[in-house]
Amino acid sequence: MGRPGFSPAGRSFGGGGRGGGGRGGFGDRGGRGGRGGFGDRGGRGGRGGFGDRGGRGGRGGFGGRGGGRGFGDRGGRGGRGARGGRGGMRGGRTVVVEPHRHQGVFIARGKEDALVTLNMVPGEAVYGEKRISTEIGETKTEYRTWNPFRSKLAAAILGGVDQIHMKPGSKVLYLGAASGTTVSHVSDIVGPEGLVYAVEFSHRSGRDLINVAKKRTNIIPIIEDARHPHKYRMLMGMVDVIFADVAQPDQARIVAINAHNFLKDKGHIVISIKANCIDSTAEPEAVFADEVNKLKAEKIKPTEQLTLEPYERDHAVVVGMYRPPPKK
Amino acid sequence: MESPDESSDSEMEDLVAKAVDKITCNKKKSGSVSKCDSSEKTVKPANNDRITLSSKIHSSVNLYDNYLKKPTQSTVKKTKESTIQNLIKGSDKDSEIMKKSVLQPDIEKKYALPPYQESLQTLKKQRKKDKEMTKGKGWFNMTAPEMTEETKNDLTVLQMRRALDPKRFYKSNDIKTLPKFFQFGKVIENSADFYHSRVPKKQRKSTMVDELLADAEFRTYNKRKYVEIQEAKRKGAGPYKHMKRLKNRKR
Repeated sequence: MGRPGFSPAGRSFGGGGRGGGGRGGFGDRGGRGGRGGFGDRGGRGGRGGFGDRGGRGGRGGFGGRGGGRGFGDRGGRGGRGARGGRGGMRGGRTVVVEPHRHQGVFIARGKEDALVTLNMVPGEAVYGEKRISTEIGETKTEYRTWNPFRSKLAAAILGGVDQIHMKPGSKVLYLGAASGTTVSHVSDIVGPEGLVYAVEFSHRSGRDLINVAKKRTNIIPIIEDARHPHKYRMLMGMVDVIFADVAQPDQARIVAINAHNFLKDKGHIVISIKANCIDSTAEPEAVFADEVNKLKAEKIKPTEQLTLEPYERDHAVVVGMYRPPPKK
Repeated sequence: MESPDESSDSEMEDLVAKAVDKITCNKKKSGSVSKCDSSEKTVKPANNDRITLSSKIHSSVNLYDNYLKKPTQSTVKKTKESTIQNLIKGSDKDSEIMKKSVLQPDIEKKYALPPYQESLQTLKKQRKKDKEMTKGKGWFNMTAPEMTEETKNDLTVLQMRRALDPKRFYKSNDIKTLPKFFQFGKVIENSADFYHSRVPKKQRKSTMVDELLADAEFRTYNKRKYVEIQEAKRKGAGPYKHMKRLKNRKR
């Protein structure tokens, strides 16, 4: 069985692209300017929609996010977008669930493909997403589809990020948890042995986050400002990864102070950067480069950067390592 | 338990009894035959019941496959001495297998049962085998299911799905073989999807192939396409022109 179109397995970071300087690590980015590292993608004429729907626009599957969102406002997520027609993911269809390249992540294949995670709380959908129930013998398992248009982490996975540094059993600090939609999927990935500290400042979306955490024992909701980690340091332990989706102008600083407080040495950070939120007048590429430089100053060594292009506009995901071991 | 001496004694007795019976039968040839037969019948069970159980309740349980073997006529003849060794099932023919067994005749004399040990190599082999059966901890121990005809068909359909819908584009498969780890699942719709994103219960099918066969539009398209290809092949048109030329070429 082939990997689907979106599958990162076929076009992983290590293979091909890097050697030819196509996608590139951070080293060669200077010459190509900003986002140029993703040159090989441009040549393909867009990557089509989710689930191999290549340019068919809104037929079944996941619709767009709908409408421009407010500045940093993640409350109204634009519903589920236009749906209809005869999608491959209609209720009652048979699909095959296969493991993805990333640990804890699966793919459901049918007429359309979808990214799915193993549902920790079978029988419950968090935000109205579709579920897939499988039965082997007497054990029933359930998966939840993960919409890349609603989650930047899912978009990064489908975009072919090399490593998300989250796997069953790892401890994750999630900054900017919002209503807990992506957090619920992260909690699926880390499983019952892992832990997710979900930090969200807004009380309104924090309420939803707490409702999600009520059913998932591995989520610890923290309704605090991520700028002041000392306010929640008594709740926290050491973490393996920090995922940040805060969309604030001082995002790099927020991530850095949290890393200094909670992230283990050689731990990883995954940041989603929205160019508009940091400097709406500058070129996105320049903004991303600027943010990466800020991270470098805080002992975070960037290892990977990719755009979330078909799913989000002017967004980039930067993956880095905190306090990397010295060069030999 | 019977000692070998006793058993031989009893055999002797049996033989004597038989001989006496025969003599009496010959003597009373003119007498009733039935009586003679009955006497033989009474002798036979005595010959068969070499194991005398503590109770004689017939529980209608078939003891044939039991641990203790009921000796048949042939085995008794072969082995003169019937010790407990012979009575333990399979001890005569499966002695090779039983050689390594903990259940030796002197087991009751031992202070404790010997510990069950396996060599590191076999343990490792077993562990590796177990590990290969699942995808591993990273994917919550997803198992490799058995490949039946139905699952194979479904996976093949999925592999060749680019041919199903002319208006849908798929990227090429990156593995040629069928996947090892997979699970078949059903999509559960949200209650909000009731009117627009749901297959009605009556139209639900158990496999992907059945779903396709139930799709009338797909079938007409597929049939048309099949006929077209056959026609083109026959005529040797299009891409088949070259194939036909190759086929007819003299080697």
